[in-house]
Amino acid sequence: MLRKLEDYESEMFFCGRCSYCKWVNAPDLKSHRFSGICPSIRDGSFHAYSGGGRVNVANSYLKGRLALTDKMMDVIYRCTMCGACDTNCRVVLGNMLSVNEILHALRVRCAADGRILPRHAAMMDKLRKEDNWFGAARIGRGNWAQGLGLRDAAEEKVDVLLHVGCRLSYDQDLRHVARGYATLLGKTGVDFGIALTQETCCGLRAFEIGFPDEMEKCARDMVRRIAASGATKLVAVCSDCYSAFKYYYPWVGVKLDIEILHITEYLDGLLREGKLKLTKEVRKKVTYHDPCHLGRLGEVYQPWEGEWKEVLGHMLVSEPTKPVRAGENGVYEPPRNILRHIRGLELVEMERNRLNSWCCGAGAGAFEAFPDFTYRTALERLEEAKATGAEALVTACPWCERVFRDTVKQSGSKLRVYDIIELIGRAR
Amino acid sequence: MLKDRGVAKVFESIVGPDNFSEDPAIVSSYTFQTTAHMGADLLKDMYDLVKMGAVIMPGSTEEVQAIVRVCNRYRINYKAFSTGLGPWGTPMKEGSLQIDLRRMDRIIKLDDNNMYAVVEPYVSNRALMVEAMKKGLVCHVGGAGSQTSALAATTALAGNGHSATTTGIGGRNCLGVEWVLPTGDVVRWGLVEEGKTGHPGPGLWGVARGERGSVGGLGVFTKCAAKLFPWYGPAQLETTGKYPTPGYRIPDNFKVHLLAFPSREARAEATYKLTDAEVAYHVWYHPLFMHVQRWMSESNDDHYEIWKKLQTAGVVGRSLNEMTVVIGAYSEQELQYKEKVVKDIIEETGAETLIPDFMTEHDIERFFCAQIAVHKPCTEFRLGGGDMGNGVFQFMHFDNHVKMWKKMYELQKQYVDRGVLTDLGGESGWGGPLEQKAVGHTEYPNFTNPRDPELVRGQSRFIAEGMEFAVRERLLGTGGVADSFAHEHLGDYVVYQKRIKETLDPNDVADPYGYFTVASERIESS
Repeated sequence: MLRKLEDYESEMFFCGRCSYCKWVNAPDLKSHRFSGICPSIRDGSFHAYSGGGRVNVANSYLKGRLALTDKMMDVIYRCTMCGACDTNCRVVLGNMLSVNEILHALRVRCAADGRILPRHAAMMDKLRKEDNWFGAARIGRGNWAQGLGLRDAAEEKVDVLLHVGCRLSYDQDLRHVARGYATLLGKTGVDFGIALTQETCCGLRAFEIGFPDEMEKCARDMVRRIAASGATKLVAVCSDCYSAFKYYYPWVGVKLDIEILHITEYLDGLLREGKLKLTKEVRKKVTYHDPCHLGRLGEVYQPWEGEWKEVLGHMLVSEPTKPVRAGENGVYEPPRNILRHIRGLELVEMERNRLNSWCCGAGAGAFEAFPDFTYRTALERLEEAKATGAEALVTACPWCERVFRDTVKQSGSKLRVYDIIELIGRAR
Repeated sequence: MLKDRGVAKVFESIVGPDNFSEDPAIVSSYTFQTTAHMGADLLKDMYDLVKMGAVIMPGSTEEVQAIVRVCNRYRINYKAFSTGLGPWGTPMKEGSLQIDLRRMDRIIKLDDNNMYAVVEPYVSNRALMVEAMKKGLVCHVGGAGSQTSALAATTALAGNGHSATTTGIGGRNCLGVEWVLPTGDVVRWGLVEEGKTGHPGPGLWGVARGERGSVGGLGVFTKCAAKLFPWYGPAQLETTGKYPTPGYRIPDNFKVHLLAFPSREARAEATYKLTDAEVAYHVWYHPLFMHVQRWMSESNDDHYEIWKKLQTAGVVGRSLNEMTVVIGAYSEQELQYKEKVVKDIIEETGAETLIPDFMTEHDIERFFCAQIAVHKPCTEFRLGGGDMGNGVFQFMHFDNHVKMWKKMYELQKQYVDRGVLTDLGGESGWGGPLEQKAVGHTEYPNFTNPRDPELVRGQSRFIAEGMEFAVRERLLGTGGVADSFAHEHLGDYVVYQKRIKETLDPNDVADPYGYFTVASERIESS
């Protein structure tokens, strides 16, 4: 199911070196200042640090022209795998070049060839030992929920299986986010539970680093937990986990037989049904940051195994037809709908929004291996948020929130950073 | 790696260690350039095309100057590029230095009173366009697309694009440059000079670039002043539909006509009338089987499905003589006047709407978006499996254009029958008038399987036959023809260019690829 780097060799040739992978989609570009879409090339500058450049590098490695030197590892891994180069390339090449797949295949090949960054190796050790990225004891996974009286979905049947993920389970600063959502669901009468100590990492980061087998193990665990819970809906609080369930699991051949929702989708549904009411006024001007894993990487992945054939002479078409994923079907409106329901709240958009969103800098192991790169990437986003005149940046992903909070603190920014639940809490 | 091991430290001292690299992991990403294999001698592994020595990223003119001086001292061949589309930005000599101008990305001035902008190399056309639109102005965008450098086309290439009738083309809009000569000396002329506004005064346009541009073979342009033009639309256009084929809602003060003419002669007649009347914002020949279909489709699969519908509609294999006319106006009265003139011309020349009822309203919006934002050009690489062939016969009188297109379509059919070219279903040439004149750009994109050397040689022969015809029949205006044909058939201007090159680049270190190729060697030996 999972294609190898060599399977992409013919695709690599399709890159026209047009550089569309580096800019915001032209029709929606709004200023020179915020015209970039790729954090990696903004930071690394050389062409090698772009989607198109990495495709060339991947080819060179595949053909044995490059070795896995330290610089090579920097080129490959100083990237958040935010998916912007991939969706942008669709505008130009349609379904012909799967940039994101090639970047992943390259990392998988690196790992298979025995190279891994030391910080990523440490992460993988923690995952293998304790099923999370923090190396914290597995037994403490459900501690965030202490005192809330939540049902254990490993023991009881529930309609909604709530998955909060590693960051919200173990990051003490962000526990209030998980607790906030769980409390809200309880108060609105939702039949839900969590897997407590049975919950494991979604495994997404393992695949991003180059270990799809590790993610697949996590996916199989998830299949078992879903079956045990009897749930009809899997609700992810973390955007990364949502992306894993929807985009990455099908990539390694695991399809979760359940309705998958992000918490903002679920709450938006409750608002529409009148089961959740936001009555209090919250006088704030805020801007919303689209997490990559909820947006571009929040679309359902449709695996393709086929071949290219010539028609009309030499024009290549795919057989069977290869889908075109352009990032349009991510979760963009539900979080905005929730914010629009809050009386007194003024929502202003950053220039780069929805599928043109600028990454926070946290993804694909960049946060752990290249904190300087992550900091500069997040700072760029904070500057964009500040340019809107907003007093706060709101997001729906704990990884984004973590990075933004750290960057605000380090840079001395006056911008506030919230998860949506914090504003919902004030509006109820 | 560079041959002289000591020179790397010198380059590092100029730009800092983060901005210079000989590491294969960095350098290899620069060596692949699609379309570079069109020269038959380059038909080898595409990814190992250029044995480049190093890459350097200067952050200022002073750094560029220092780099070029070092190149002269150590006799290192170099070439600079801005955004990097196309093989002409890549040095083709082994051990060369690639100068990547990515760090030089400022819009230095946007003078809305005098209608020009001063930009550095890595400002994209689209970025300049959106900033200009905020001030009621617009820049020209070349056919390579709005993601490409605004400076590159203005200083070193031709930069033809479909708003040319209003905005001219890149090479015609150059109001000044800051130019690091091949020796490292800096020349500034025109509106890039500090404190200079209004008009550029006497310049070195002919020496610096000429009609075609020096394609990076005459040093490095680090700033340029480019003309801006009135923009009738809003500062921001509203996007409609979805990616990868979004549209723009067409503002009330714009009209879009997609037309088909009964003959090439009738289309030429309409072109003369439209340019004479000076009422159209865009006048361009967008062939249905290339541009229109490409802009409407998400993928080649989609493109092929549309092709089948066109076949059912009975238009495959017919010459439709397409033309796009876009009108913009500042007032309702102006719009009505222009629209009346265009409609009169349509009636007089027998034009009709291009395949009525075939395109939806949203398709027209997609078309308008692709036309204004110029974000779809590189979908050509999609049709060509990562590549495209080209035949450029630019600046041709439109009577000659009629003859040229007739010949090219005949040739195209022959090469399709021989199995060399992709059968798109109709003519694939595009072009349009320049500055409301009776001459304009003519270009004939074509496609084959770029992985098959024999087919690529056949494709090259198709292009050459077209050029030979253009020269033999004396159809050409100026520029745009390969050096070998130009110097044999069109007088000695290439010889003058060669002398300029020799004078300005005595150590021959500014990479000549795309500027003087085989032809220059012939001149030298003759």
